[in-house]
Amino acid sequence: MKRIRLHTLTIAFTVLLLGSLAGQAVSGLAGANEAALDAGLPKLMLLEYLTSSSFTVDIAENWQSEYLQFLLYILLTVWLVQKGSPESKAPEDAGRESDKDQKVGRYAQADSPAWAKVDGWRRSVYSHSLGAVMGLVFLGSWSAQFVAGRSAYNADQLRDLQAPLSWTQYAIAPDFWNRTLQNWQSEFLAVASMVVFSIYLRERGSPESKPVGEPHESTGVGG
Amino acid sequence: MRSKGIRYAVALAVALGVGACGAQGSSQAGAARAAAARFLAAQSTDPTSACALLAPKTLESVQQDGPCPETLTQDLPPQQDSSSNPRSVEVYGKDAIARFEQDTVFLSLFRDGWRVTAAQCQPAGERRPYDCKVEGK
Repeated sequence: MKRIRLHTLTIAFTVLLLGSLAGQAVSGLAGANEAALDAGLPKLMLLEYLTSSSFTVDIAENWQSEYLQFLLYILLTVWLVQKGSPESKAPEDAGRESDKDQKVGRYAQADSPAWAKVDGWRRSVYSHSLGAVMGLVFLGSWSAQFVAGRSAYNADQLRDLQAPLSWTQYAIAPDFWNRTLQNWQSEFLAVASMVVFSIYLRERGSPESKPVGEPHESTGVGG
Repeated sequence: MRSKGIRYAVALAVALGVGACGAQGSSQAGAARAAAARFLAAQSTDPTSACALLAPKTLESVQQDGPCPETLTQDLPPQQDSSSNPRSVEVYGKDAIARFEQDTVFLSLFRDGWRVTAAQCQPAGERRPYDCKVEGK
């Protein structure tokens, strides 16, 4: 029980994720079956829908933008700053920072991660592991959006008695870029909103907020 | 905890991969090809069997103009090569297109197999729907 208390944030968001995935599956299946009925085609079973390109592209287009958001947020906050925001470093700390500040090599603690203590490629890889993994998941899910999106789009094309698109045609198709960019804009809006709102607004107790009494000009201070 | 998380992440990645790639329908391409070839061959030699391969909505539409076997062969071009296999077949999920030398056929996958949703189709120009003599309206 004590162990669970230490992981409640992950547990809560995992439950929310699974719940909303289930809801998306049910509502998406209903929508797909409405379209099938209109076209005089057989209804899909749940498992058929879950392995369809339609469901996959709806998942992938959202995931790729989330991981792009995290990737850019992680990387850009190394160098870019916003005075007054707890989402930003202090302006004088912009950049990769010193080994002492980053607790690597001879400055590592006894309980520092193993690859932070060593020199060479291991420390280098570990030093960029967060951005690298976010980037890989972004590229993987964007690729999944591309593949599944083309399949779903072409299925609609065939139902409308139109020719399907080739890979290169889909890469420049409005459907691919509309799906991509409508997701990107909301992610960038979310980050920008959070960076600016958190300068002036507070949420007591949240590490995403400055302490309620912290001045607006304080930068990089969490609750 | 960490190894379980990795296992779940891998399972999810595999599922996404199945949905992304598997929906291409490579395993269904052969069945769609066979259904399209069977339909095209039956159109001129055994129209009753060809009618049995039509999707319900398409059959209903064809029957509005008279008995299906008669309507199906009404304006069939005499040079139709009934023994041809399609030049190409593309499958996207439960929808397929089979292109022959002189015809294009659209199909959808039903519980009992592939059925023709539109036939005797000719391209009508870039970004325009095919012009089909047989289709569900």
